[in-house]
Amino acid sequence: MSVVVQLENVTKTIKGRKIIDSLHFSVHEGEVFGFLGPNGAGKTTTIRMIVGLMKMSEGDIFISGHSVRTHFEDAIDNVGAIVENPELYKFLSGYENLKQYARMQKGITKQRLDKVVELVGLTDRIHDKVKTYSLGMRQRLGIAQSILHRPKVLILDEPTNGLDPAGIKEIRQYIRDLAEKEDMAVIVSSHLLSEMEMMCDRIGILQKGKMIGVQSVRGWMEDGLETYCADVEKNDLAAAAMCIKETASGTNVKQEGNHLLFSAERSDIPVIIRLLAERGLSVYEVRKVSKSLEDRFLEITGQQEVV
Amino acid sequence: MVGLIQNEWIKLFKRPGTYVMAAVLLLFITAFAAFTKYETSKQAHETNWKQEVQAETALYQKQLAESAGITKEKKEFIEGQIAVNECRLAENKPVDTAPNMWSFVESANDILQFAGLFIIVIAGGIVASEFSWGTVKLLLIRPISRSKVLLSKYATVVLFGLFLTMLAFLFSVVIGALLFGIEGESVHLAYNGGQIVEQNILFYLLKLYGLNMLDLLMMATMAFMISAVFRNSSLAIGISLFLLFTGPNVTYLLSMRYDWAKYLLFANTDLTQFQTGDAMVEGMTIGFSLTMLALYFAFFQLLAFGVFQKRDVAA
Ligand SMILES: Nc1ncnc2c1ncn2[C@@H]1O[C@H](COP(=O)(O)OP(=O)(O)OP(=O)(O)O)[C@@H](O)[C@H]1O
Ligand SMILES: [Mg+2]
Repeated sequence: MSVVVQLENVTKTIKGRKIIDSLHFSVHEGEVFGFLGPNGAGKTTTIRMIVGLMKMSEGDIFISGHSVRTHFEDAIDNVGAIVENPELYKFLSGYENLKQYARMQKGITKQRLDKVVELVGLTDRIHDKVKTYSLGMRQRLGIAQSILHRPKVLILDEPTNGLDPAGIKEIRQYIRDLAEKEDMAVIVSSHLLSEMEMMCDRIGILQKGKMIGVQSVRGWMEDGLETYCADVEKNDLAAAAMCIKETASGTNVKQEGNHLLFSAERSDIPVIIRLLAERGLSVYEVRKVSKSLEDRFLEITGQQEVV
Repeated sequence: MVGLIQNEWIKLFKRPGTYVMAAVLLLFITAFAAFTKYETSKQAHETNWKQEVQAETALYQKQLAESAGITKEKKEFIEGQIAVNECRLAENKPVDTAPNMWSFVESANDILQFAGLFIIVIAGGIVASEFSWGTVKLLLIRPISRSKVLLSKYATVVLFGLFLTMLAFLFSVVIGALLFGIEGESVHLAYNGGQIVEQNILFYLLKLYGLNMLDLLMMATMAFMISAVFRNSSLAIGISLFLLFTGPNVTYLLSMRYDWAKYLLFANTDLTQFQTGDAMVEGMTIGFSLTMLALYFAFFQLLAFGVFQKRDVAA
């Protein structure tokens, strides 16, 4: 897997305030990279710097090995992007919008145009004026426009913003397809974790301009301790909590109604159950509570409101 | 680059506003033609061209005799006119007493001011509206340098200016021919450094329209610069139109008291002033004005390109 986008210590200072602080990460071919962060974290600003709309104060960004700073045209040739909203000429038809874009770069044939239109499912409405399009249709036309020149990396800033569940699902499918079938690197930003979980391979969490963690979605779900829930007879709750704390990995015991929530390693669970039985405590159930990414996310970003 | 200009041209002509502008311009010319026709039909009496020329000469001579503080250039111009008139009488080269196609085209040149207004509207909007539509992002994330993007837009403004001027010119010719007839025995005589030369009327008119267009393009360049720097079309159009309407008058008032007024943009935009010897400040020459215009032009473009290339796009 080769690196397509490489950020090196990218910093953006506006009026003495560090809006982006030494971002350092890379995105590979065929990978969907999620850019996650609360409002104002700096997702859009980072994307603007990648596509050259904003100049970085320090550091550099390389796209397919070309520096955005010094070889902008070579670098941007490999990029397709929608920054914030799909911006289109409303007084032109969808097709004319695509043709405007086709004229700005070499080697886009009419066949390619028609193929892209078909891919995003706009064939029926493509000759209507864009002002008659729904938001979902605009989003699709925006995607068509950004993949017209077969970029190596596709960058979408909040691609599902304002879409209904069906629309979101459809966009998610496009994104997965582009990464898996066309080997494109895709960078998506969002403040919705649940959404990211479903379409990304890796997620980088951005907060106050700093990248506070990059993790692969699978690995993240499975690493370390798990959370378990034990349903215990009311009178035995205190004693049961004692038992759990005695085991090697059992920590973080919390009482929630008739349940005890605790973290432990999987291998310690039989030990705990045996102990509880030996002491004659009435246990109805011990089950794993899969800790959602959402919880992890909140943990990392310090319980801050995310959605 | 051709593709970019083509894109701009399409965007221009896919909006109804552009057609409204062209239509209003043609409407004005038509109205002006109708008015001229009506006026000339009222004064039905035939006049002799020789009498008219003699009357004009008399008027010029009176001007020469009366005004003591007349500038050297103006004096030369009047003497030239008198010489031309005398030559006409001597060699029997008539002027037209009734308007014909060419004389109509000449007077319709004033309507070009409206074309100027429209060119300013286009120039003021061409960069700023991309910002307000948000589409500037599309333009700037393609493998094209920002200066090329801006250059294609400026080229489009110039082409549109040429287009409107040509449209006005050709339409005046057609409507002039229809209403006043192609026939006219007039010979265009010009006084050129002590010599009287016979000039092709078409050449003369094209020069007149050309000089006027230069004026318009300067205003358009200013509007374009404001549009690129402030990214706000109402601001660009507002300031430019305000200056277009007040600038020449204010400059004229200043020029009566202060010599430095000649360095102002508006003292130099009207290049026809040198043809009639009416330079705004004494001692100005066409060379001086062309230099000043070139300087202003360079200043506007440097500002436009400098700012457009440097600034972040955060809209
Ligand atoms: N041009 C600017 N001048 C000053 N501050 C700016 C500018 N652009 C962005 N910022 C600041 O930078 C920070 C990051 O903004 P950015 O738009 O990148 O956030 P975001 O992560 O995209 O948020 P959202 O989820 O709301 O889209 C914000 O605090 C914002 O106020
Ligand atoms: Mg944003």
